[in-house]
Amino acid sequence: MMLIFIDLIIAITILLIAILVIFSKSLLNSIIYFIAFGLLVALAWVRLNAPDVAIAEAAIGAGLTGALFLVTWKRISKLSVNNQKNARISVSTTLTASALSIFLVIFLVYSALSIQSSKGLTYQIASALHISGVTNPVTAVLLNFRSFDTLLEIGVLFLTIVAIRALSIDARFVFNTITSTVFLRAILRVLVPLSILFGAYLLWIGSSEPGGAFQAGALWGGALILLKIANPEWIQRLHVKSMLVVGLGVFILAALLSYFLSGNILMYPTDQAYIWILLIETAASISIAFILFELFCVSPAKKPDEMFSSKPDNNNGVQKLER
Amino acid sequence: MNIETIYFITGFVLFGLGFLGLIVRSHPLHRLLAINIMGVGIFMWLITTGFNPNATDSVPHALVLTGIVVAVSATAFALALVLRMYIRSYTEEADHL
Repeated sequence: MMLIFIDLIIAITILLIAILVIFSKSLLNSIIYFIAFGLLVALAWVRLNAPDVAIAEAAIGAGLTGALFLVTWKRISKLSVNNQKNARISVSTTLTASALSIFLVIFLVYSALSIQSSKGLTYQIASALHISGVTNPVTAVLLNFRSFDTLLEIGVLFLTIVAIRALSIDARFVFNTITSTVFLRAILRVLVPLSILFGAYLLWIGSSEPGGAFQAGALWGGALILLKIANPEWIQRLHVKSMLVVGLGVFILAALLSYFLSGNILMYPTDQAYIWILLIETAASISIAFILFELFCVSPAKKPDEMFSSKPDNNNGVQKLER
Repeated sequence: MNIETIYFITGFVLFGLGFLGLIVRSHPLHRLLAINIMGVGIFMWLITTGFNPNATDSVPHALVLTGIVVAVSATAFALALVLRMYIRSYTEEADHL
């Protein structure tokens, strides 16, 4: 009974913060509320017995998405000269939209309730878990039973990077928004090794406990972003482009190899499933880390030395374009 | 009232709130935040379908994990498009001066 109260409090707080995200006047407040919202939703996932999802939500849903919004907000706020036409939304539109959303919620609740409740696939997973090579059922679904979906998911991540590079965003507008200080570098000396270590732990433990490639990749991606802020030149020495493809590459190779070995795409030879999963996960988490890092940097498809040749000046951060 | 019901309703109300925000807010970043909230609403419903105090179904969890990653990719691409849009209007402005 006591615990139901906790759930009620979490649910009401989530809804209140969602209202704040949507209706805050200031965009910066909305973004900060959104990060808080993600962390509270992670709490809700813990209450719903979904610790894997909770870690991913806290790292990716709240942390990384929040960071992406913040950095984009910072970048565009320096660009908005007077194109902020702040279109007024009329009262009638607001009323219609409110009525429409209430109708939508009622309709969705009604249709979700009318779906026949089923037991799901709990039994099937439990009975096949011993041949999957891992003991965490979520990892078993992601990297064995439905590994094709995960292959395509890494493909989606990779395509996002290709699409963002194709936008060829001018490097002069993607200036470093945070300047590196002695203080920052001193903290990073502790924080970066810790997050790399903890990411490796999550990757390793993912086979039996909550954790896995995505959670590990998110942590490593965060470490890379911090390193980039502290020392933008250092990161160039890493082979970013090959790191971006290694996950998808290893996954596709594994798919081809398993096709020749067992006749089915991504059906691992029995007894070796654990090694296959571990190899694929390691490669995938490296790529995920670098892809998440690149999503933050929005690098154009240019050579790195061209990117850093034009340093933004200190007055307004953005150089006037030469014609 | 049990724990699934609480989060089931929360999920759909979040979806509705996100939908409302998508229409009534005009700034592209506000709209993207609203779309993300709609997504979280759907994830919440999916997780409640797999909830069972004794034997939790892992398939919805795997689906939601995939969903979170795809949502962040789509959001990142949309944010890059927004940045591109602002750069374009900024450079056009600079050309007019």
